[in-house]
Amino acid sequence: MKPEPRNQRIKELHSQRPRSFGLRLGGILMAGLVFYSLISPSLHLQTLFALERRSNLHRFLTQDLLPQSVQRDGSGLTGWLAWAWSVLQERALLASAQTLGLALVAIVIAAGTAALLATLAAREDFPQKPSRPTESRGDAASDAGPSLTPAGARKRAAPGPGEGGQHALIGRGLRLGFGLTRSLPEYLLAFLLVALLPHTAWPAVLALALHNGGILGRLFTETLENVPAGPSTSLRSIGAGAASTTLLARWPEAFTRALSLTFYRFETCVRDATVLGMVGIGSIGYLVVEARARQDVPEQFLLVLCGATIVLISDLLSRIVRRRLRVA
Amino acid sequence: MKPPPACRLDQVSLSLGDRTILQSISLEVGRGEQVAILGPSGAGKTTLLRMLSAGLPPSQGGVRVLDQNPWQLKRNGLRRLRSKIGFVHQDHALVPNLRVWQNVAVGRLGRPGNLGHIRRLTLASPSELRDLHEVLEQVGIADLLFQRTADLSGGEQQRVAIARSLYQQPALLLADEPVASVDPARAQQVMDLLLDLADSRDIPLVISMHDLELARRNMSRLIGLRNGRVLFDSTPGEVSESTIKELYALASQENEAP
Amino acid sequence: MNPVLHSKRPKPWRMISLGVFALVGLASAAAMGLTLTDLVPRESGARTGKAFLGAALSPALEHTNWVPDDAPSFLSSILQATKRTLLIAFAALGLALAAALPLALLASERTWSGSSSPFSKILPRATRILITLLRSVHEYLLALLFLAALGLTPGAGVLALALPAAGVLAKVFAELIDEVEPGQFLALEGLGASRPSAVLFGTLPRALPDLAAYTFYRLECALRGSFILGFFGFPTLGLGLRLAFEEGDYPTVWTHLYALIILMVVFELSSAAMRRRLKA
Repeated sequence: MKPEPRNQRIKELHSQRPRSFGLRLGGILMAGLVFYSLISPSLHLQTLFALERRSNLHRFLTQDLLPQSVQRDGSGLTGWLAWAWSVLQERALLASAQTLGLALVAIVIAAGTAALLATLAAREDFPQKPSRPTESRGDAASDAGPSLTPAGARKRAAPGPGEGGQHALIGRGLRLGFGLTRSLPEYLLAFLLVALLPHTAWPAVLALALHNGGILGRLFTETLENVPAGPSTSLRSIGAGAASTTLLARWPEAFTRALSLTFYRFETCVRDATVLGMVGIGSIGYLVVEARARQDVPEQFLLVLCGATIVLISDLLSRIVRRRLRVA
Repeated sequence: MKPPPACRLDQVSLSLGDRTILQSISLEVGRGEQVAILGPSGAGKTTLLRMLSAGLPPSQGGVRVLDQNPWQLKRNGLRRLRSKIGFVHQDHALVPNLRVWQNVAVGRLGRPGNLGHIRRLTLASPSELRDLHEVLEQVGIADLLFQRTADLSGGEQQRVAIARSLYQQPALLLADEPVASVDPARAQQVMDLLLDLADSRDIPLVISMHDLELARRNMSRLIGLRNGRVLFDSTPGEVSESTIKELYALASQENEAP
Repeated sequence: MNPVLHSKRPKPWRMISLGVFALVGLASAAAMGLTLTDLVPRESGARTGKAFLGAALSPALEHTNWVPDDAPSFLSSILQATKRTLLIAFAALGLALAAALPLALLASERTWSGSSSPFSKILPRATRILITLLRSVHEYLLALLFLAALGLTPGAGVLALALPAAGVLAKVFAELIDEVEPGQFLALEGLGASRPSAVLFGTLPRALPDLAAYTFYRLECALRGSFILGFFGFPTLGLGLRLAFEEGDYPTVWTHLYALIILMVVFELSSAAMRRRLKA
């Protein structure tokens, strides 16, 4: 073929190529929104680089971060360390422990409730999805799930033959519940609960437990449903009920993965616990807000470091346990 | 003087862990030869092809590909050498969510240029598109230029894989089990296509396969491989029935033992 | 591995960790003085709760307290706040995405597989440490710090959301990239492609649907985060909600809540549609 007719043909093919208008539209819309948000006058992000901000930042980095006592006697790093240690001893260590405590209580409640509800919500006669071999994929995918629509509800609309109507209804309701609790910001939940409950740590614990219970509920349900069918089929054949089949035949198989998922959520829980105190509950977050009210920037900074340290430590712990679980 | 062979293996062995995969294999593939590597599954056919394509270093022995020792080359030298070797993988190794033209254009990633590659694979110029269209035309699927690769049938995907190798402008074409999972009529089509392409470019063609009859009809040289050793290496006429029986019968016995 | 055989092997670890976990949970509940009786609202709490829930069906549609005559109407101010909530989330995620992709490629094992250069040891590790550090500080803590450092400007909120999001995105992206089967990558290396271009054209396109799906999820998180930033004074929906709640103006609180819910549902539906098309 000569170049000219070939070009013609390529043009034809190009105009006939398969296109997804929805995807294009969505992509353009998304990119457009990002671009608009970066230049939009309602955020005026360019002022971030304005001169006054720069001097603000300069003052912040050179003066605000150092406590006045240290600035006065010019003792530098050693002075800062001594000051930091005194703050830690006085309140930050306790607050760190409280933060961890919040996360622990919340995750235990969340995992317990989720395990119970997932047992009821797990459907039985599912076409088996190939189980995912690697842990990390599970984590990433679990995070990526849609939040308002129960997982896989569309794909799995047809109930299996062995499924009772009532059981299916409970399962569907629970899935919807998992989705709803997950979609609420836990900080908002804690903020609202503080006004309702007596002054304890419960609002933060409940907010964390609800949010994570929703996520774990969905993950546990999926894990139970993806367990190989062998043992449960034999139990069903001797007349065991739906819930007891799940309990006796599926949980032993799903246990390790469920535990591993729980530890994975624990990391996120600790991270969120560092800020939930801001609604007025003793923990790192509470101290941060308090220091902010006193305009004590050095202490705010120290507390942020504290929060980061807790998160890093719990990350490490959870990673070690999860690796063990995978090996065991 | 005779021109140097396209590939040459000299007492090549390969073992991974305590498993021996290839054992002291010596062979040459001359310019313009058309070689079938026959043998049961697990005989080492794919490994031998990878050895010939400078994709895998031997544990022992010497390898020369296109008159170079690939394992003495620096990284860029090895890349340049590999860019001249077309390899059609058994599973095609295409990227399913790229378009057909992109999967073909990938064939020239071995050439120099970094940012240029990104441009070529996102916005091809008209002359590049012409080249891509022409290569696809040679394998008979020019109209699929802008289709999604994942939407293609298995046979079409194989042609895309062949087109990718051709787009490299290779000096040597290797194909791993190109007719393993197609019906006999299609198998002959694929063989014809590969032979024509190699013939018209005057480059050697090495194919691994199971089907002895197909190999006999089409190829100028047959190499029998069993348990990592060369059982025979001759023209189709010279291979006797008993040799063939030995190739498959013995192997099937051995394959049963785990 | 055969799951049935697998389950028969003794697994002391899982029972031990479960036991320790539950015990530590109970112990910390006790140490923090959490009793079940405190779960029941007292009188004042119950009153607040009743008033709050009672207003659920009658959200405010106009200003409930005095505003100057030239102030924008109530609904348009809600709309403005919703818009800013959306814009802060999109700006943050746009920036995070721009940082996360290169970080993920640097941290991925695939990018460095088989490389012998001295960078191949240091760079991925340094990147992974950077990613972990980015993730470790919660976005709201960062927001407060940036408020102190930069003053009250939406940009500070955008940065606060963007940095941790970049860390999480990069971490998950790297994992998703490393999970792609190596076939295409190896094939491209086999035809002479450099390692970066083999990752770019052999591995990355295959991971793209998963990367996009995860980005949508993070965008949803950023929307929630952007909403909450209002609690610290940024001009998003959370600001109005907090002020109204503190005044006991529950109808206005509900208007803000409904705006959040509508925003999340619309976003979720459109992102679900996009994800379905991407997977197809």
